Amino acid sequence: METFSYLGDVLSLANLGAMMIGIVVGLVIGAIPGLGPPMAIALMIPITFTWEPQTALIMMVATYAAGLYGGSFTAILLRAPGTSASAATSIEGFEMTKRGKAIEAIRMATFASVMGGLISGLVLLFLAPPLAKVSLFFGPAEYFLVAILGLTAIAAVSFGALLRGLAAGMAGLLIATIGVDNMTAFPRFTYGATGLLSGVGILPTVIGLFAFAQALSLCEGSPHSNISGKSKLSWNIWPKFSEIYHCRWSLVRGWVTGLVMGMIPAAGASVAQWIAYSWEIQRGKPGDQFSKGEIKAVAATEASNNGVTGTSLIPMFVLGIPGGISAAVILGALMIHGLQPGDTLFRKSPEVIYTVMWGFVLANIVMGGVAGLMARTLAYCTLVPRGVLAPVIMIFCAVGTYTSSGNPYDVGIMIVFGFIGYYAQKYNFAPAGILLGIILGPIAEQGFRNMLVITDGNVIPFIAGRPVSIIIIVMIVGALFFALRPKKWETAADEYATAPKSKPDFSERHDEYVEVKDD
Amino acid sequence: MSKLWAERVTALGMIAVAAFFLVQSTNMPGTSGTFPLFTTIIIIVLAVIMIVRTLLTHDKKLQGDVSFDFSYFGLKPVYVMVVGVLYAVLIFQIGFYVSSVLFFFLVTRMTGYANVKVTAIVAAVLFPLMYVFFTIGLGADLPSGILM
Repeated sequence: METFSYLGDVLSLANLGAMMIGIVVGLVIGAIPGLGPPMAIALMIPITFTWEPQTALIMMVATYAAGLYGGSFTAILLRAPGTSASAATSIEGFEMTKRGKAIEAIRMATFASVMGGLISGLVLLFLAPPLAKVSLFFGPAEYFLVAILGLTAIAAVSFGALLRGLAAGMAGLLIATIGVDNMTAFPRFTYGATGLLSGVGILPTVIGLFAFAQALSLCEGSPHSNISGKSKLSWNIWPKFSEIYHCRWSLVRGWVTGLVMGMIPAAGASVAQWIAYSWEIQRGKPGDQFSKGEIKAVAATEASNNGVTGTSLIPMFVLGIPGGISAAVILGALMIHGLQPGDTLFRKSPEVIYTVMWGFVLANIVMGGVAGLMARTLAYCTLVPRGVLAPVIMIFCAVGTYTSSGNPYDVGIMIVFGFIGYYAQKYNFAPAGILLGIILGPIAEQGFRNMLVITDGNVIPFIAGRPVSIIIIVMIVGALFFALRPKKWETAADEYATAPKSKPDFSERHDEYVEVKDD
Repeated sequence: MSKLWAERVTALGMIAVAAFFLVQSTNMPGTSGTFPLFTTIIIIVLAVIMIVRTLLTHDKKLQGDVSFDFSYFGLKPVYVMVVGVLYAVLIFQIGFYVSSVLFFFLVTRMTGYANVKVTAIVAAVLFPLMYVFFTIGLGADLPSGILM
């Protein structure tokens, strides 16, 4: 009940104002490829230095939640994910945009994100101290196995080209080894280029593989046509009950994935989205159109990446272990304001921590309204001629990449990955597989090598004695089983493609469903 | 070229690239080369499976020919990519804003978009907004080069 006593504190003018600024800044910065929540939060530290700690932190957590969602705008509308956590959304979301269903994708993404953030915020508020202990069960073995679990998603995102998808994933893992080795300080595959010593970053690769590659794709075809093929857009930005009901289990799966992955330090939204996406593909039903614009996939990926936001703050607030870069920046701000994370934070400064947690919950609700309107306004870019849109996206890719790191090499890396992404997409080499490899490579390698050091090479007995490891192994086996067996929706689509036209047309049924919702 | 041969050539290319990195991985000190070695071996195994598959299966996906379009329209993304590389160099030589304006007009023309009025209006709105947002708002230190 003590928790509720701080709810009123959030409603002060200063806190609400800070929250609003945080939401708007987060949405805008999140939507620009390259500029993610960590950068926005870091920019806020000097501005909020003299503010009340709870007001400053409310602004930062609001920016964090909104920034993660903001990345989905450009992911859905342009296949240019604003953050690496929106890359999976860009696959299905953009396909929906191409079919003239951008607004449906946006309103489902908004609902999934808002509710995901809200549920995650409530978990943070009421269950933070007990759940923080879950993070302590994760050691090198579990990190390695979580990375392997994430890699099983490659099988799902390969869409029928499994060998090429796996090769792309392995190429991603290989690319992730470029740079100075953390353990031996040996520069791997750098060939004397100083810009490669720090490795190939996730941000330049995600921008290149998705946004820049998409801009190159836009150069094909008629420059006067637009992406969606429509000249008008609906203002119906609020999801309907029928849509939510249609995606209810996808949403639940996404939220569960996000909540769990958020508690695992280093995993975060970038990994959660792929696991949710892969889970969704495996659970697909006849009529679903994965890889061609499936609304259930948008619901699941967006539910998972915002489901992460609250729970990823749990290890940071309770144990002082940041779960990701944004949480690390917030941790820095917390300490600048003279607060120490951990048990003392909850005992000595409950008015700060609980007000911030309530602020986070409220920010997710307010974000829904602001985000819906902003996304709808941004949707106008789908009406811009492709010949104009392509160079604009490329310029934003360059400026976003450079601004995020200040490293000129990153701009070059981004362009190279743009080229790779364009041809990988064209020849079924799953750019998502390459990205998954790059995201999970360092986690897998670090975990594996640490495990080797700790166990002196006796890895199997070590893993066998850790219950969390065994649970993850069971999940990996299950994920592989479901990924490799024929999927109902794929079989149904194949049967339809080869059967006489008397068979039901699932794709049409899907389109009819979406059209009905619009009326 | 038939799809079967395209698949084989792709797989051989994968083997060549993976072998190149495999050799380097074996020369790395300590455990630095373990992970790259593992990934390159898997890539080679996958490539071999791809080749074997072309010899054994009658997969419909591997039937027919691969078509390459070497006309200007087919290679447009490649030309734009080359201009993109030049742009990435130029932003550090002549400055971000000037090179971005040049890049914008050039790529718009390359794509075949002919409405100069719309292009000019977009540029007139976009670049001042970018300046306000990135340089003034975020205080981003964008490459200035010899111009701006």
